[in-house]
This record gives sequence, structure tokens and C-alpha cells, in this order.
Amino acid sequence: MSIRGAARPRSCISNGDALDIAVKDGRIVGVRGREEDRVNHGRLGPKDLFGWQANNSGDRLTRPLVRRAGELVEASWDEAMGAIVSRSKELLGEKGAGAIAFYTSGQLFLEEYYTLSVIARAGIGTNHLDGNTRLCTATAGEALKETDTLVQYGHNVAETQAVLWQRILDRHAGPDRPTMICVDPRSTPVAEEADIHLAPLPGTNLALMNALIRELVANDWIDRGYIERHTVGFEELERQVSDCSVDWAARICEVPAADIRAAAEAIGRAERLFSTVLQGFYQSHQATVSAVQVNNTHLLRGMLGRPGCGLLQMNGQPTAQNTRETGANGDLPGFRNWSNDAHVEELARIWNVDPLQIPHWGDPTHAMQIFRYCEQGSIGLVWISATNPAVSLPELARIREILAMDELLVVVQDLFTTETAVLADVVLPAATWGEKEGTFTNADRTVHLSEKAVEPPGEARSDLDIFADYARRMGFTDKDGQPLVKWSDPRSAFEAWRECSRDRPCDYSQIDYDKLRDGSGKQWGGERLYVDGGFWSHPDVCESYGKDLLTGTPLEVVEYRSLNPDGKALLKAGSYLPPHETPSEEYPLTLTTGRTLWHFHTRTKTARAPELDAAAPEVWVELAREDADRLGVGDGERVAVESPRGRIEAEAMITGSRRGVVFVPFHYGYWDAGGPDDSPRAANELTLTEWDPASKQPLYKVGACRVRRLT
Amino acid sequence: MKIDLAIEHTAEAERELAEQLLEVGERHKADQDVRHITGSRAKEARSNLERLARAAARYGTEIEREPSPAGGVVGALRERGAELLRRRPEPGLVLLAELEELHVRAARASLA
Repeated sequence: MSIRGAARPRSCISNGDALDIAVKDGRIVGVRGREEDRVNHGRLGPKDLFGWQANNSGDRLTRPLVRRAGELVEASWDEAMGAIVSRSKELLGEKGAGAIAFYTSGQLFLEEYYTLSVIARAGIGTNHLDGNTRLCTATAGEALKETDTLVQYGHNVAETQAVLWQRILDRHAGPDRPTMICVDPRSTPVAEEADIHLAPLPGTNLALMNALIRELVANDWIDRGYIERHTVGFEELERQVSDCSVDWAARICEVPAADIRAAAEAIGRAERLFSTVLQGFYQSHQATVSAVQVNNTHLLRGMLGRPGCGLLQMNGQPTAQNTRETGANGDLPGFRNWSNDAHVEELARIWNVDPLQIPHWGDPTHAMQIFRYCEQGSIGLVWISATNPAVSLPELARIREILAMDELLVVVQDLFTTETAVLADVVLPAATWGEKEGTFTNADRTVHLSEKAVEPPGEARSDLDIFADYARRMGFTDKDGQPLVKWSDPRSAFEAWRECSRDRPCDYSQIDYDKLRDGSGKQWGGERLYVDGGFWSHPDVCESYGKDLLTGTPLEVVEYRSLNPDGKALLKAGSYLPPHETPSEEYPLTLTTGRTLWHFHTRTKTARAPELDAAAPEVWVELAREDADRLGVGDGERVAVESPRGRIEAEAMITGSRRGVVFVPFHYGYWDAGGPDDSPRAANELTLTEWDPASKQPLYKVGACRVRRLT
Repeated sequence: MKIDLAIEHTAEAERELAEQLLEVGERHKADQDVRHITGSRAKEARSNLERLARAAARYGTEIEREPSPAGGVVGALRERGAELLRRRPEPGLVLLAELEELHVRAARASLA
């Protein structure tokens, strides 16, 4: 077989892995890892290795669809865009900018998010723009080479980032073996590999963290000099955790006290502490304040910004970092602070618009609230790009009902007819990586350029083309009557973003397309952030003035200034509260949901790769042996899982996990199997509409359920 | 003794706050953040009440520990109303007025 085509695009899923694409007869025929890349060193996870096949799938969307007389039918781009534009103009005239919302993803390229951000904030002027990403990152993954103590909080790295896991296993099997601690209610491969495994009851992370912090302080395993020089709030933190003894936490979390003590000692005596955090914390009860306590273990111990030390608040999706940087989820572009007038004015200057055009009277609207406004009818158009809320949001019966509302125009921009697309009014066929050019940045700030290797199928267009076309058709202009979106191709969009990001925490001004074409990706901000205890927290530069972590009430600039006049790191604390939905007589078990190695998001692409589909073709339910015995359920038997919101059916898998906890992977929807009525299987049929008050992230990890055997 | 009167006064403010928080949570069940945050705050007010009751006991007075129980028929009706009106914008305005009132009550409890 001769492989033609010199195109060597670099793209990724999950870890920001660099790969080369082989092209034959205008189609992708294979991929390989790039050895010279700084992130993956040539290794690929299974989703990278096999996932590209979805790009060639025969059921790609190739023409726009428009709903006519209740049916989605093929239409031209003019018809489809015309329908969106006329409804947009009607809504702007009747109700104003607040009637239009955008819900995007962690799958597009930086240039595309930035364009969307400009359109939403300055073109429409709406507060309602969010991504399906709501996480946060810090220092460099290189620290993994040198760490002596590795703690993974709610982060099943073996399933979520296979390449990173391989590197961890290298270290754990090699010389100078680091101590590994895993916090996860399930018995995962990470938990089995770990030296200490803490399995707290879902919804109790904060109790555990507060006890760990108290142990660090009580045993004086803290760096008082660092705390004095670089932080504020230590006294308050000390006071908040003073009652949180190990025995208290052991009771709440149902974890042996000795294990908590051992973990505290390992963290306390670490010389090079490295922590990673993921959904087990982010999607659980008291999410933000728990994740903040992980940061606090590093601040208290002065373990940031030096070799072997680090903290990765991980990303789940390849380009989630860019969603945040460009302001496509909840901030203004370049981590600008919506409540800092100087930041808004600077942005208005860059875009050449009136500052009042940029909505900054309150918090940008988060995804769950966008759907609530749709439900209440104040939003009349929601434009969903590269994500699938009809499977991925909590309480699916409600989400389906909202998406089907007559008075709501739903636009879906995707590769396939997803579960969300079938409920849409307009469906736009999009190009994917390998079919378009653009950049993306992973959690350690490495920027890669993904080059175009093949043409998109049929009439599919890149997301950038679609957004730019919308801006043109809407006639968005700046103060001088010139087009608001002044670019039409990825390179010029990137140039515009470089200017927008200049002197902000994510400063891309030193990176350009030519540098990115050369081998490995490039990091913005250099090798390490937070060197010498410097943070982006001064009142004049910080991304936000922070929030009350228990209620999410935004702080005002005056409060922030008096608390933190010199821009140090804030040691924030919070007290443990029990989850709102706890097991009851009717629903005696705790439900938690999560990922599997073989699939991504809602399987839209991964189930179209034969190897990945074959590895995990059907949903399953994990039950602890003790619970399974009590319920009389054997391995492989079919069970129903029921919650106050809905039910699913699946095969049981008996595991060695702690009792009382039921796990369901959230990837499975209905495009390739029945529907919610005849064969319900989406984990989110069961989950609860609730979110963390500070981060607004939905809580997929804690809810009550019951399981019964199906005969 | 004046101190027991002061404790009673404070307890009354906390009790009213807890009751109203629960009521607002029931009436705006469809606004999930309102529902959950009022629930958490009500728990906090309740634990304040218990601490006040312990303090009162030291001064030989007894105060009512519990706010009127949430739920019941009236609570269920409020929740049903929220369900029925979940697609309507009007409860938003009611909510605004109720949050103002809650703010005042919370301020009173914190002063008392």
C-alpha cells in the first residue's frame, strides 16, 4: 500500500497527544504518535489510535438539515443559515440579546471559540455563552518525572488519560518509586496500583480534605515561611478545619482513620508533591471548595513552581483549555474579569466596540442556567456546537422536553445526527480535525497546530467558516462600521487572538503558526507558572474577585482588595455539608457516573471506530459484591437502576469496590440502540439537576438510586 | 434575666429565617440552585437554633428548637405549583421579591 499525501497534521484527543496522519486517495488511512513531541513522546492512547476512523464514517452529516412540518429535511446552506439569521434578528428586535444563547464544547479549535466569543459578546451582546467544560489547570506535567509523592484526587487516569497513565506506571515501576495515593470511591486500576487508596462515600470529599489539611497543620508539616510570604487567609483556614479530626472524617467518609492518617503523613512528608484532580472532585458535592483544598495542600507545603512539584487540575477534553482562554465558557476572553471595568474597556478597545455592547452587568450565564432560561421561555434560540446535551446533561427527560419545545429554535452543529440533532430545528454539518486547520492547547499549556489533510465530506464546513458566515449574514460591525469579525481563515483568527491575549495570563503573543509547524508543540507562559510564589491574583489583573464557595455569591472588588491587597494566593476554606440527596429507605444506594477508557463523551465518534465499539459496546452497572449479594444479583445479570428521575436497564458487573456505591458509565445514548422508552440506558436518565454553586458544574457523581434484578 | 429574652429573640429570628428559606425552596423548586441553596442555608439556621437552645438551657429557659416542619400538604402543594409553572417566566418576578425579603430576614437574624 502506498501512502500518499505529505500532510502531517497534528491533532489530539484527551491528553493533547501529537500525531501524524497518513492520507491515501483523499482519505485518512492511519495515524501514528509523534516521537519528538513534548507531551506524548510518540505514545498514543486507544482513542487516538482508533478514533480517526469515525472521520470516514459513512453516516457523516454532509448537508444542512431544516425542520419542515415536523421532519428534518435536507436544505441548502443559504436556507439553513437564513432560518437562523431571520430568527436571530426577530428575537433581537422583540426581546433583545438575552434571547439568544450559545452552548459549545471542548472539541473545537482555539480560533473557532474565539470567533464565537466575539460574536456572542460583541455581536449579539449576550451573557449566555458557555461550553461543556468547566474545569481549571495549573503547572507543568513535566513535574511527573521528578515527583516523590503523587496524589490523584477523583482522577481515574487509567481511563481518562491513558498516555499519562503509562508515564505514571513507568515512574511507579522504576527507580525512586514515588508514593502513590488515590482518592476514589471505586476500585479502579489506579486504586489498585496506589500505595494508599482512600474510598470516601460519594459526596464527602470536603470532609476528607478538611481532615487532611488539619493533620498537615496539627503536625506542622507546613512551610510557614512560604505561607507568610505568598498567601493570605491561613488563620481562617486553620479555624475552619479545627474541628475536622481524622476520626470525624473517617465516620462521614466511611474510610479507615488509619488510612487518612497515612495519606496525610505521606503528603506532609513529601519533598516533591504532585497532585492531579478530576471529575471525582469536580462533579461531586461541594466541588469547588474540595478542589481548592487540594490547591491548599500545595500552598501550605510551599510545593508549587519547582521541579517535581505541581498540581494539575486536569481537563477531560482536548481543547477545553481553549474554551476557557477565549472566553467561550463563563469568562471574558484572556481570563478577563467581567466585573473589572478596565478589563471590559480593554476588550472593547481591541474589538473596537462600545464597552456597553459587552455584557458585564453580572456573571456570564452557565450551561445549566441557559437550559433553565430556555425552559422558562426567555431564551428563544440556542445554538449547540460539537456537544450532545441530550445525553450528557443531567435529568435527560427534562432536557429532551426543553429541546423539543416549539417556541425554542435549536441549532445543532455537529459531525453526526446525534441524539441532540434529532431534536433540533436546524442541523449544520461540521468538519472535524484533519479536515480543517486550527490550534489547541492542553492542560499543561502546550499549543499544537492541527493541519488540514483531507477535504470535509459533502458540504460540511469548518466551525470557523460557519461562525464567520453567521457574523457576515448578521451584519455585525464595529464602531466604525467595519466588519466585527475581521478574519475568515484560521491563521488570521489566530493573529487576532494573539493581540487579544497579549499581557494576559495566557499570552500567545510569542507564538505563531510558523513556529507551530516545526515539530513539537509550544508552551505559552514558558516552562513553569507560579515560580517564586507569583500568582495572577492581584486585584487589578485577576480573572475574578472570587465567590463565596458555599453559595457562589460573587465577591465585590472592595471585599477582594481588603482581603488580598497584594495579590497573594488565597487559602479559601469551607465547612462540609452533607449532599442534598442522600440514600433513603426508598433509594438506599449512592449513584456515581463516569468514563471508560474506550469512549469519549457520548460515543458520537468512538462508537464509530470498530475496535473501540467492540471493547465496550453496551452500558453496564458496577455493583459492590456486598450489595450484589444482598440484592441477589449475579455477575452479568440484567438489572434496573432507578432514581427519583428515571430508570435504566443494564448488565451488572460485580466489583471489589466499596459497598453502597453504584457506578454507571455516562457515554451511552440512543443513536445506535432503541430509545429512552423501550431500552433506557443513558446514565443521565438518573442524575439530578444540581450544580456546584461556585463552579456551576453539574453534580454527576452523587445521587440516590436503587437497583433491582430483572428476571 | 435579660439574656434569656435576648436568646429568645435571636432564636425567633433564626426560626423565621429557616421557615421562610424552606418555603421559598418549595415554591421555586424548578429553579434548582434556589432550591438547593435555600435548603443548605435552612440547615445552617437550624443548627444555629440548636446552639441557641443549648445556650438557653444554661439560663434555665426552653426555646422551640425546630422550625415548623417543611413539606406536608402545603409544602407539596407549593412544589406542585412550581412544577406546573416551570415553563412560565412569572415566578421569576415573585422570586425576586422573595429574595429581597429573605435578605432582610437574614440581616435581622444576623443583627439579633
